[in-house]
Amino acid sequence: MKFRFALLIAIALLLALARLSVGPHADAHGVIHFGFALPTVTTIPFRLSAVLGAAVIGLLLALAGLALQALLRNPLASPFTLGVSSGASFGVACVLALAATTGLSTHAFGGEFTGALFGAAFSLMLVWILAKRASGRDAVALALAGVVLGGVMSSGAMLLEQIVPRGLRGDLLAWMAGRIPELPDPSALVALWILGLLALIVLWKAAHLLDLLMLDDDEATAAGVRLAATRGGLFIIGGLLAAAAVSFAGPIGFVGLVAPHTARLFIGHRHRLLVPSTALCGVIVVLSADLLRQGLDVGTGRLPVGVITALAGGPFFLWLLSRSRRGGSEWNL
Amino acid sequence: MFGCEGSHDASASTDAHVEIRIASLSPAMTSTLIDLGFESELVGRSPWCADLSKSLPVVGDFRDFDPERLLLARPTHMVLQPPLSGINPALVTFAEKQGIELIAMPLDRMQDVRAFVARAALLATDPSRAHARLTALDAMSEVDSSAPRVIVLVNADPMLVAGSANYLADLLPLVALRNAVEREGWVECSHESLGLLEPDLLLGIAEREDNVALLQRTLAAIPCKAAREGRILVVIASELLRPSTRALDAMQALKPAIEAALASGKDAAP
Repeated sequence: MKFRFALLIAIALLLALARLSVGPHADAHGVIHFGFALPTVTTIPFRLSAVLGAAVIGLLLALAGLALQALLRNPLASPFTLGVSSGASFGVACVLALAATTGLSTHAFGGEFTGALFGAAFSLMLVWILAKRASGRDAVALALAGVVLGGVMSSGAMLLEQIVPRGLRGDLLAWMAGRIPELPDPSALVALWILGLLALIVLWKAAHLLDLLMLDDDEATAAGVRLAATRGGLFIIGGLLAAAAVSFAGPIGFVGLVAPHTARLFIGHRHRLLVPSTALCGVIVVLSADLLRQGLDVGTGRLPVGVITALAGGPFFLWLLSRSRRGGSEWNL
Repeated sequence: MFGCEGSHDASASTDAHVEIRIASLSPAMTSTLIDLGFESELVGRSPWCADLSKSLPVVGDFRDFDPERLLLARPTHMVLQPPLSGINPALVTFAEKQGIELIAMPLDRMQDVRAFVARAALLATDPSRAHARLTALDAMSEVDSSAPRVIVLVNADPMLVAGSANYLADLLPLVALRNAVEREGWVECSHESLGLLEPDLLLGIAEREDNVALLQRTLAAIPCKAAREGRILVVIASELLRPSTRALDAMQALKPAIEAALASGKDAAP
């Protein structure tokens, strides 16, 4: 297991190095190509911020997926099951509507980041309240509340999109494609890394509790797990990580679903190694997508990372599914 | 930092002493720049700048940009239409740090196109082409309130027509027409609401040939006298779908076909 864990670290580091070492370069005629191009003093800040941005998004989404799969005891749970993505879309649509109404730029309202953050937080709060009213926040009630509220929030975002002027509609669609921002605000990047690393430590420390949470409620309680408090903690951690990632980069799909399952495939089900391995798998998935995005020139500029993770993540997930049909456990899918 | 409307001064050529390298993030601005003779100065494009060689690097669009490709393209100027949501602050910071002059101008009306031409004239070593265009833009006549009324359809599903305060409406006096739609900007309409306007002519503008039949069918289904009498004209004119100086020529080229459609009441060939 330790060898496999070390392998994951090596792959993540190699991908980071690759992302730092490849990029566009001009030939003698000034025509720009993509390939091996060592960073220069001028290009290193761009590449470094791209690596740090992609890695932290992968880390946040993967850990959010792991926390929510444990919370909901559902292998299909992802960071967006609790309606975070739809809530964030609704928040972005609200900012666009505010900009259209007042005639000001969206940046006057903190930009899409603020809208997404408030929307995601609002959505999480509502899911929490709805689930509590329904049946005391059990896993099924949380998942149902998240799915239903996600649908309502998505409809709200679509309604607002129809109301805003045509020139603003493309903004919501572009945001929903999921993009790691170019030259992100360094303070936002530092805050995300602090949040991600804190979550990694907390989940790693709680690895034994997460293992016990895989048992049914009676067994877990008998083993000393305080179910309500543990679920509350996982809800806050998973929701916060997902909200932060979506606010920063838009809804980048499949990372939170694929990374925990890939890590289980490599490492097994014990959370002591599964937590850091999941984080590494998330970093690997998003760095790979960003590397591909950097090199894939389809003549229309770089593709959004969210499109690449969805295109690659779907077939990969189906492969995991077919593997489980040949005898894997439900948590291997 | 940001460009603003320049004056029409024939002697002005303030930037002409330095090498000009332009990255365009707007297809409409690209079209105008090519028309003004800047094609060899264009070093970067948006994905939608169809008029430019595919070998030019895509350096960004209205929302996103590629800092590394921009650095390699080494533009001295970057032109873009500011989106309604505002210009990406990271792009502004990047341009400031790299010493790239950002020329951000809206192109909603023909007067905006004029302002852009006046600004571009300052970059030209030979601004005569730009000044000729400015003269042509200044000579555009006002709307004649007795001119036949037209509905200009640019998209069939949803039905999108040019409203007032729109560059296409500004171009209509060139072909002795006036806009039947009074709402401003681009307007999404239904067949019924357009039928109530009882226009004299239905004009469809298609980007490509495969859109022509759909626009033709959509216009023919509008419940109004012009549709019943066949006063429908659908043309393929991608230049008209971008607010640029080329739209002037494209609209003027339509004059015979429009006159024929109005006179005969039959479909006129593009």
